Amino acid sequence: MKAIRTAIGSVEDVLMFFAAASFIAIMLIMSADVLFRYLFSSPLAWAFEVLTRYLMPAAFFFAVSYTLRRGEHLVVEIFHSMMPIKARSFLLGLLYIVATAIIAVICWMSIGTTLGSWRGGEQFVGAINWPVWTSHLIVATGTAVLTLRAVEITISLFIASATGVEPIRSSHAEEEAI
Amino acid sequence: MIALFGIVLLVAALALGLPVAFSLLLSGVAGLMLIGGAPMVLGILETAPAASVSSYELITVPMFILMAELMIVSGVADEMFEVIGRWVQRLPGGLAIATALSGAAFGAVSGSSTAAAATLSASSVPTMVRRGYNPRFAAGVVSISGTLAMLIPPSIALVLYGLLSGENIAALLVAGIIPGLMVTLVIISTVLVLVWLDPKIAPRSADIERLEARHWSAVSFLVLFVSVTGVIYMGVATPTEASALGALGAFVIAAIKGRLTLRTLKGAVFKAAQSTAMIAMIIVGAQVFGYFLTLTQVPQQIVISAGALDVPPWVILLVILFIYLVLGCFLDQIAILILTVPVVLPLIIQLGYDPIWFGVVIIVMAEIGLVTPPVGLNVFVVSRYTGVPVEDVFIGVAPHVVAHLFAIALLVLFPALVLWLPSTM
Repeated sequence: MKAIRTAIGSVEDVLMFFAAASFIAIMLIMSADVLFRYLFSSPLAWAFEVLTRYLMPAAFFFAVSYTLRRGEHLVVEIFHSMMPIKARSFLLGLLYIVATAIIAVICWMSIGTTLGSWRGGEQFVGAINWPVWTSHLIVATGTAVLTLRAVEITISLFIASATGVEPIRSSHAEEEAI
Repeated sequence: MIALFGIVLLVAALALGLPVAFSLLLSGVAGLMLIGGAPMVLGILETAPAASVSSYELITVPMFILMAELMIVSGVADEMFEVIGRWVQRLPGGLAIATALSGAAFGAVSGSSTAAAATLSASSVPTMVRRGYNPRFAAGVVSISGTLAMLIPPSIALVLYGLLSGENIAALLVAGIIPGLMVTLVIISTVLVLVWLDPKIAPRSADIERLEARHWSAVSFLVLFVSVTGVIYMGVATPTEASALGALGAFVIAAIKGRLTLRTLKGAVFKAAQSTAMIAMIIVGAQVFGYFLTLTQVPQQIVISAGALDVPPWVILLVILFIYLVLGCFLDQIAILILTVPVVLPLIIQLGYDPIWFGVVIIVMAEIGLVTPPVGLNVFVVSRYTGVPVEDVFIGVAPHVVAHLFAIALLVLFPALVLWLPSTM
């Protein structure tokens, strides 16, 4: 279980690096777009497509699983902390099974859309005709890793429901050390 | 009946501790399954996730978050307290007043209330306690002053409200300025009244604290404020563009101040990326749940039912505001906005109220939720950073909650306080 957790974590770390790079790129490209428009009356014609089709999806989908691992997704904590750990973990595990299945479906659909766009040679119409499949690939990759992380959390929750010991949710200590 | 099933499932999932985003996704999909079966669900799941995060306006949220994180790295936020403290420390409760003004100043370069509370805790509470201020009083002022970041532009909450309601984000941000200043004045007035009632909580020391002059911080703060809110007000750039310029400005300030290393940059960007992923995932879930809610026609039924009630609109408004007050005690402000705005806003418009005004009013209501038990996030942040027990912080902030309700009453009675400035754009 630890090896699986580490393996998923390594992929998440790599994706998070790309998400962070997308953040910096969004900041620089959008600022450059404004400056070019005012200083040279020549905005970056390709900026809108790159920002909305690639960089925003990358900034989100590449960070979403890492965020789940760090326990940074918003949770209403007040009620479930009142329940005994075994019952709480079991019920939450059941909900996670359904949530994981839904994320897996989103991933599966995204893979299908990616392949469809690739085979069809679809392109975004704009200043530069960017390929559509690369944008879908970002969604498919992010949700694939999110599915794996959700599976790992589901298993941890059922182990916790059997043992009564809080699941090891994330490598916080390791993250803090960065 | 199906609508009730979906809502009950959502509440149960939230209560059991499933992340808000997944709770929305799960209950939305379950409800859609009952309405249109698998084909409808698959059709929505194929397009909704990517479409939700491909919005140009949504870029405003991560850029404002990044700007806030970089401002924290720059250290300017910490130093603002020292700059302002020099001006007002001779007044009764001077350092508490400096805290309120620092909260407003921090809010003018950051949209995150929690970050504001954490930063103010580190800079102002130790100084106040050293000067003999009552820790409960000091922590209460910090908790409430941190909430100003949510209202004073750039406000992430107002941007989200704009995305959810379809209202003009620039007008919303500008609409937050006067209420932001007004709430700052209300906090200062509360401080003065509390010190007047019990001067021991904020003793006036003969020897004035030697707070360092940080003129550079004041200048960089002003430059950033003008380059974001100024350009939005003047229409030079859209809020989305201004947010990126603001992030770049904060990046440059942090670099000039020598605080920007690979490590601090990575920390700031990673934090911004995680906050964005959290918010965007909720938006994806809310999109799916929104489809379900629309198909059940619940929002329309609420509008029709409320319209048929034989009571004046202001009574319904008061009930709605009371519900926001209660929700704020249990739910995070972002979750409240995303869950309620699509349902409540049509009703508000039907009642004849202005949606921009309503956005600002519910953000001020949400500020109260940040400092009320049991889940007042700012109180927990301040308690963690200062070591003042949580219950003491709650007691310390209580007078400010009452004063905030008074501020909301003013905004309800005089909508021009909100709507005048955007009308001049």
